[in-house]
Amino acid sequence: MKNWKRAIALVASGAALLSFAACGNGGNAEGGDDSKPTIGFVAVGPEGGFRTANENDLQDAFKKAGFDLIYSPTQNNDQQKQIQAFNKFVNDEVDAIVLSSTEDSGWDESLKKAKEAEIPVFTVDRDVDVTDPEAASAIVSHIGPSNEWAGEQAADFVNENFPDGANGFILEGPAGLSVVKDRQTGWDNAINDNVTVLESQSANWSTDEAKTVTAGLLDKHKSENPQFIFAQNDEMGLGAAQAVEEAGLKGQVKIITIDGTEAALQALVDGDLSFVIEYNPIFGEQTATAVKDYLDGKTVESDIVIDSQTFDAASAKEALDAGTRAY
Amino acid sequence: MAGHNTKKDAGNPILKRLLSSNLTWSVVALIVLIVICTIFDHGFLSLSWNENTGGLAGPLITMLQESARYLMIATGMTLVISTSGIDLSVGSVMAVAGAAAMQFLVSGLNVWLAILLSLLVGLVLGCINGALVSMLGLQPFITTLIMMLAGRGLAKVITAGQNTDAGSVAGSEPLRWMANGFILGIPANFVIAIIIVCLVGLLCRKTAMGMMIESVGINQEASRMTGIKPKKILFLVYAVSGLLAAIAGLFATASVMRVDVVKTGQDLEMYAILAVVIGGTSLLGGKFSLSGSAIGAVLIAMIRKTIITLGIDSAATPAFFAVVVIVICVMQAPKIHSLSAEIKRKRALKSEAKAVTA
Repeated sequence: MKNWKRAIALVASGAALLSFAACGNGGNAEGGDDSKPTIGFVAVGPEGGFRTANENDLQDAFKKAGFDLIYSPTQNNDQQKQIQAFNKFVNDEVDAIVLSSTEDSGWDESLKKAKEAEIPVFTVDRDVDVTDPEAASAIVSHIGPSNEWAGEQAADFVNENFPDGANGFILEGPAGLSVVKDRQTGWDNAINDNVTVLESQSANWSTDEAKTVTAGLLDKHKSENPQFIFAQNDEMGLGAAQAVEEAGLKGQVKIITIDGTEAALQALVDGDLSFVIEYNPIFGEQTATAVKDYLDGKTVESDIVIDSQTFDAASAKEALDAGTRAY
Repeated sequence: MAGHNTKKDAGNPILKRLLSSNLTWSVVALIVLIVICTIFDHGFLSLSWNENTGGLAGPLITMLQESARYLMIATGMTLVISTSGIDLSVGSVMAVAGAAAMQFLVSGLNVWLAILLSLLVGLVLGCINGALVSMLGLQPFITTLIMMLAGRGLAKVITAGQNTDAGSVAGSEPLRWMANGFILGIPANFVIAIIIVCLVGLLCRKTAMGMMIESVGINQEASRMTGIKPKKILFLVYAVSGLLAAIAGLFATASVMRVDVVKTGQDLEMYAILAVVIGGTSLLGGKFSLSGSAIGAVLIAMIRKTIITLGIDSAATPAFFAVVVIVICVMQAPKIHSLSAEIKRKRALKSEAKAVTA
């Protein structure tokens, strides 16, 4: 019995060692290809709708542009893994690093290392927040749609539809993310004084949680006649829509969401949502061009804002019928 | 004075037993939270009939609706923990089962078949845990930790990384009803969950099953010698935990008819463990209380409801959650109960000494 167990342990550890060795070889082979510039992509990993479309597009675009892209996703938004991947890319002396960070702070040390190794860093989608000037100088450019703009669009929609003022809720993403802060800032800057946000609550980007939270908020503020819900992403908006429907308020409460996934556009056509602001994930080509230009010695803009659109029921139907949406 | 005290203590054995029971403190905590919510929001206890859904509506009802999934995973977790094991994979199994159900529905499978198959998926994952733990004797912690990571990955593979939405699939009403419907005005998922908890309870307490599970938790070797088959029992509890987690996964995804491969069931293994511990099951195994875990599960849902009702800042919610749980655990601690008796005894001694000197 004992021997049998030991044999299994031996086989298992042997297999583990072999697979590690295989990984090591694979990495070297990739890194050693001199004909193509090597780009390290520190990514978030598949997370549904936006993220999957965004990262697939980036990978395709870099491949097309003749780069060797090493994709390194993290899991469950673990920043530690991202930092490890980043440092590994610096040690391997890749030609450039594309960083899609899970959190905006905590990158100073890694960026300094990149600066020392003279590796240019391009941040995509989420911007990072660095205090150290040396670390900041490692970042060549930030490429992505503007979250503040998206927040402003949401506020504008509410301003237009309720010129006499209205009450409503905001469903936020997880506390501390730059996306959440920026979308909120955009909203705060543009919203009219006569619009009252009864309460802001986090639903952690989750459909299911948003439904629970919205049901709770609708119960609690029934007497104040809530007329709008600004959900900071589509997933939460879809959950809020179901809570609104169950409460028998469909059509009376306007739901505004940001992202523009297919499910949200469909819900817009069905009348469950009222307004969707796209957060365009398709900017692989622009990113690849920026990296290429920089490596070729051309100057690159430090902030490349990707255009996004807004959708109402009619334009959502058009977009869905055209069938050109990538996500 | 001292005489009076002892008489009072002797006169209230029921009160004393109540005070030292974990169940009492969970119920007290539940009532306190409800009272706090009612003070803050006067309509908290109000119930109304909702024509749209054909059931009762109100804050308490949504709380019960949410508690159904915690009831399921906490029940499975109770059995596993009482064999001195742990199942960290319940949250991920929820995501896998939910992802499978949504994907089956979208691909046009009959809704009943989709439900059955996704429950089967959960059962299979549970059986794999069970087989690794019972037959190979692997550590439950590491086995289920790996299943937790693998399950999350599997959920992503099933939906190709997308958050599959089955909301517009025709004929999915039975599944939707399971999570959102009502039986005599009470949320269907809560009723289903309570029935399942009762069935598991009957199976454990009306047969020798419960005792066998506990004996495996106390000493595997000794229980083997008395004729119990510990391997079978271990396999069974993990399999049951997987199946119950799959039901919880269906509740969670069917409520919005959409699976969120990253968020569905995320961190819920921790909630399940908390519910079990609050309910009075020892993490060392050998003793369990299903009714305690059930109240613990409802309590977890109530804490989350309190967070929404009080409008606690999203950055502070984990801290609030932790504080409430710690307070409950402290109230339950036997040391605290003996502490108050100790203080009484000392005070009595002091007053006696005073009386003597006087």
